Amino acid sequence: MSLELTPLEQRVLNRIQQDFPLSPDPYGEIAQQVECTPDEAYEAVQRLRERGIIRRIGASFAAAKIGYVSVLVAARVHPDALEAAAAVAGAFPEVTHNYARDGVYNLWFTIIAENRERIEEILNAVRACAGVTAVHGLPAKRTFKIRVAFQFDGGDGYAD
Amino acid sequence: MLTDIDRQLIARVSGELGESRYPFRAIAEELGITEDEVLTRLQAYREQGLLRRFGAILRHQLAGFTANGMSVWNVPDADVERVAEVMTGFPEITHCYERPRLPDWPYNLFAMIHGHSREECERIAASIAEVIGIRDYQVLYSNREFKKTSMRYFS
Repeated sequence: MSLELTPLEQRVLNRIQQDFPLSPDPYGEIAQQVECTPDEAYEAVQRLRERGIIRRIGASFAAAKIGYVSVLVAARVHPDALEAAAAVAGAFPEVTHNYARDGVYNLWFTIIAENRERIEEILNAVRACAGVTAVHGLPAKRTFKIRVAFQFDGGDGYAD
Repeated sequence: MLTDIDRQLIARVSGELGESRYPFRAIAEELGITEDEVLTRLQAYREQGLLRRFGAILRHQLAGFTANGMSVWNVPDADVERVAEVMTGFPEITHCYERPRLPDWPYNLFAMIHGHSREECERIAASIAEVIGIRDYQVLYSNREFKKTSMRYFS
């Protein structure tokens, strides 16, 4: 899929992915750094949002540091029952990502919940689905990297 | 300890910033506190490590990163730290975690690979395998995305 971005849009995206200014006038700050007017910066962001290229502008918190518990779940589900089991998992607001993948464990989802009991409740709800033969919570023992930033210079390459 | 105001602010900014030209002023008005207080608290969260990032989250598919591969590696426990260090040096690796093994699942290191195609993800995994000297790995591709959202805390 090709992505048409103006040079200004590319600069704005590169600027705000990792760090949207925490400032009374964030668009003014962005404008200074990407060399345009504050209104141009503001309009570029709104356009990228309307086009769906920007999914959200906001905060990502370290779940554990604000008292939440998170886990990656590996589940094994009969292919015919996969969709129904995924729907049961996905209906919980605590389930943030939910994918079918190829492999012995074919349903993978993440839970961020207020406590372990709630995680266990969600796991049990999925265990109770027809066709589900295994559900395992795999909490992170160590986190080595969390970063999603893509460098736009004609749509190729990555930021570090 | 988080106060009620903290919880409200965290709930608010874990949603969408909004379309205001002066978004933090708008958030302050919604919460009934000053803009300065909003910004000071957010800075404090960042310094305390609560706030990992405040920025734009893109739809990767639209940005051309259509392949998302979850690579899983069977790494000797004593070697995890060294291997993870090498792995996280690859810019295509966006997330990397050590997780417990299962009886029928020997893989203990998980690393998300983002690429423009499966072939590209395979190449990246192969070069990582080469560098770290570990052959027991798989790259699992998502064949369906059922849900992808951001967590709304305290709401």
